[in-house]
Parts: sequence; structure tokens; C-alpha cells
Amino acid sequence: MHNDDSIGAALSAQDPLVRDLLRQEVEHGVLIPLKTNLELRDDYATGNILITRVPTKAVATTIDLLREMLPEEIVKGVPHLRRCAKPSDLPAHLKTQFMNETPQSRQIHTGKSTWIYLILGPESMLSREELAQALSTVEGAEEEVFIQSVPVPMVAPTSQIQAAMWSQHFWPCVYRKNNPLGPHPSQVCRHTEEIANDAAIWMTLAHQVANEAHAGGFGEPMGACIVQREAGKTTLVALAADARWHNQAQTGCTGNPMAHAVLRAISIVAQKLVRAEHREETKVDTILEFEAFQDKPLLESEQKVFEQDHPSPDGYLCHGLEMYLTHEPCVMCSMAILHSRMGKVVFGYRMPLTGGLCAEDRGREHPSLNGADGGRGLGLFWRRELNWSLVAWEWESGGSVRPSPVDMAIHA
Amino acid sequence: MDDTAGLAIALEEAQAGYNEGGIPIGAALVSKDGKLLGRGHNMRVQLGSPIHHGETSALYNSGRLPAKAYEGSTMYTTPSPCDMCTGACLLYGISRAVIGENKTFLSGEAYLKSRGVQVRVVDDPRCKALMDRFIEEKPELW
Ligand SMILES: [Zn+2]
Ligand SMILES: [Zn+2]
Repeated sequence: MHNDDSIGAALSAQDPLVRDLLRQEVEHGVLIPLKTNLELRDDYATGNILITRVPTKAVATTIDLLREMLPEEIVKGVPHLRRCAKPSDLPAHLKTQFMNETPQSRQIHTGKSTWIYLILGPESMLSREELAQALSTVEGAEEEVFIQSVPVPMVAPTSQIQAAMWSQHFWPCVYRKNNPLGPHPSQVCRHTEEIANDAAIWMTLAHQVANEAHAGGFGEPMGACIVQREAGKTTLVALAADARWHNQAQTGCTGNPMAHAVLRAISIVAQKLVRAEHREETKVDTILEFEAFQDKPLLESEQKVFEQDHPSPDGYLCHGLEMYLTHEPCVMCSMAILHSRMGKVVFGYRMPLTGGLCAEDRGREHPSLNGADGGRGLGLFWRRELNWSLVAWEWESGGSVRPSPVDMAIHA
Repeated sequence: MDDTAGLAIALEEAQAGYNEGGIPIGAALVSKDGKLLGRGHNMRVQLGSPIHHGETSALYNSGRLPAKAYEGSTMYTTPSPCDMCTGACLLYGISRAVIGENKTFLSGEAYLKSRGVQVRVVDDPRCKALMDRFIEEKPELW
């Protein structure tokens, strides 16, 4: 349970700069991990596998036999399904079904059984006839070779509880501590604990800079804050607000897309790294005088953080850093966060029509939007094909730190 | 300016990026009436920045024109645009994308189409060859 003491402790552990920047009370909030596309949609994908049963003493020779006739990827089995199961370990409905088929079946299922049920492989990749023929040569085989099709979950269970449930409903399953559908739950738990104590500080700063920039006419009340966490010590690396209306006629509703808070914050980190390398800044030619990215500090608070050196001058992009945002970033910014190799992202307000991180269908559930359709959520924070991963949370304020209202159709 | 000329500028930019030791991805933005609005290439290596892609650099290079100037414009890119650049094009109201090749990655195309952007894939072997050469020479940057 969090209380004001823990906030006080988290605050006193910060650099004086952070305490100096804070102008409003820091109050705790709740971190809610985002769900991935796969977690929301492919939950119950099942497929059918073929199983057989052989005397216990013939298991090894049967597997050798299968190895000879089937491709490697079939014989090596499905990692989350037990290849062999004793009759007593089968789910109740299969036990009943199989044992009542023939008198011999009853024999197999009674007393101390000397038979084993065995997975052959995915039904769609196997020929029943060929298998039946091959299995009839196994020592002690039944007169009519037993082959049955059973439905099983095709993706691994994500917890011990789920594995136990699936073992009762489908086939004995193993929980292998991995999650094919998203970041691993235990990893998410660990990261949540890691940031829970001070997330409120960074969220408060993001809101503060958002309101400052909004009051100054620079942009929408949206803000970003980038933090490095190393060996338990946190350092503020960048603070940036939305600046889409800076040097920009306020016509239409998009403003300058390159001046979204996320892009400005990521660009500030890049500038700090270049500065640390004592490299000449590479100049980019523009046709007009206008700076599209607006990536130089505009506010005094942004400037103060900008002047601090990057805590890890040899860092690569934003690798492993944390980003705290007032609003769920748009598709452009969401992908920019992934490109930057950010390790964690927390946002305050879900953008029901334009956000890029959440995987849920967009807009439909929002009463005030009258069933407006934002399409399927893109869930950009987790992409299986990338070899790095981002953990993302929604943050619910427990106090008064709440984003200023914005038009839901705009892109954060 | 037609598609061949537009894509040729994008390819020039990609080559310029390659010559600077960077990632050889280029882009060109051409207005509805065939005027070049902006051009640029990926600057991740040069600027240490993950957001200066070919397309965003071309948009940057266009300055900030009135929204009307982007209406009906075409973005030429050497490989398919990523989701960031796709998102940027949509925010600028760019209505057409011409892609040099979509073998290196196939990402934002479906999203562009679903949001009403006209997409044309040219399959220019020079775009693919430049990417392949880079990936082979500098796999660590890829
Ligand atoms: Zn954005
Ligand atoms: Zn891109």
C-alpha cells in the first residue's frame, strides 16, 4: 500500500533539480499494464492433435518409429503439451470416453495401468492410415490401433493456473514461464514494482510541462518526460511539451505534427548524446527558416533539464529509458517510441480514437463518442517480430493529477 | 514531375545517405501540381536520432507549409514507410504514396490504404539493391 511517506521517500531520493521543478503535489496513481493484440484476440486458438496409446514398455520404440517416418518438427512435439500421459492423468471427459469404448479399454484404465497415451502430432499434418499401419507393428499393440483426435490450445499457457485449467479441459499442459502473446507476466510484475514508487513524480512533471506549454500557447496540454533508471537511481533526461502551435497558424486541427511531445523528447535525448560525444552537430538543410521538429527547449523547465548532461553518454538512442506521458501517443509517436528502443512507457489518458499503443477497439466503448469508430487498436507497443520489447502501462491518478481535457479526435 | 522523376529524387537521397555512412533510405515529397516540396534521407547514424527517417526528413525539409500545400501531394520512398512515417504522412494529409520496393519491410502500407491513401509499389530493383548492399556491409547498423 502506498502512502504519503513512500512519496516523501521517493522524492528525497531525487536530484535537487527534480524537486526544484515540481510545483504541485505528487500523488500516487495505479499502473495498469497494457494488453497486446495477441492477448486480446488469440486467447483461445485451438487445434486438433492425434494421440495413440501403447504399452509403457513400448514407448521408446514407438517414438523411434515416429522419428523415422515423420519430419523433425512434428516429432519434437509441442513444448507446452506433455507428450506422454498416464491414463489416470487424462482430463475426466477423455478418460470416460476412451475407457468405455471396448473391454480392453476398460482394462487399460483400471488398476495399475501399464499403458501410456502419446501425442502423435497435429492432425492436419498427419495421415491416419500411414500411422495406423506403422503403429500396428509396435510390440503389444491393440488389434485395432487406437488413434483419436483431441482439441488442444495451440499457444502456451501464460500461468500455472491456466496450465492446470487446460490440463483439465484439453490435455496435460506445462507452464514453461514464457508468454508467446506479450511480455512475460512476471517480467511485467517486476517492472511495475520497479517504477511504482516514483512513477507519480514523472507523471506529475509531464502534466506540469503540458500545462505550462498550453498556457504559453505553444501547444495542446500534452507532455512527456524521459527518465533513466540505473542501479535504483533515477535521473531525469528530458522534459518536453507539445509545441504543435508554436510558429504555426492555428488553423485546422493538426498543427505541426513534428512538434508532438514524444518526438521533441526523443530528439532532445539524441541531441544530448551528440553533445556528450563532442561531435559537431550535423546541420540539416531546410528550405524555410522554420524548424519543423521544434526540438530546442522552449520552456524554462525544458531548458533546465536540457542543460543537464546525459547520465550515460555512451547510450544508444533511448535504449532502456522510461517515458512518462500525459496522453496515449498517436500512431506516429508510438512507433517513434519503438524506434528509439525505449524500455518502458507510461501514459495517463487513453486517446480513444487516435492512440497507437492500446490494442482494444478504438472509440466504440466511449459513451460521449456516440459509437464513433476508431478502428481496431494497433497495440503497437508489443511486436513479436522485433528483437527488443517495450513494456507499457496506463496510469490512473489517485489524486488530482489529471490531464487537461483535449478534443478526442486530435493526435497526441 | 511524374512518378519516375519523384522516385529518382528519393533514390538520390538514399544514395546521399549511403555516402554519408548512414542508412540508405530516401524520400521526396511532391505537390499535387508536380513541384518538389521537400526531400531527405534517414539520419539515424548521422544525428543519432531514431525519428529522422527519410520521410520525416523530407517533411522537415519542406518547412511548415500551409495545410493546403500538402493536399494531394505524393510521398516517394525507397522502401515501404514504417508506422511512424505512415502516421506522419496521414497527419500531414498526404494522399498518395509511391514505394520503391516493399521487400525490405512491409509495414505501413495496409494502414495507409485503410486510411484512404493511394499506394503504388513500383518494384525498382535499384532501391532494393542499395538496401541489400548496406545490410551486407554494415549489419551492425541495420
Ligand atoms: Zn504524436
Ligand atoms: Zn519511417
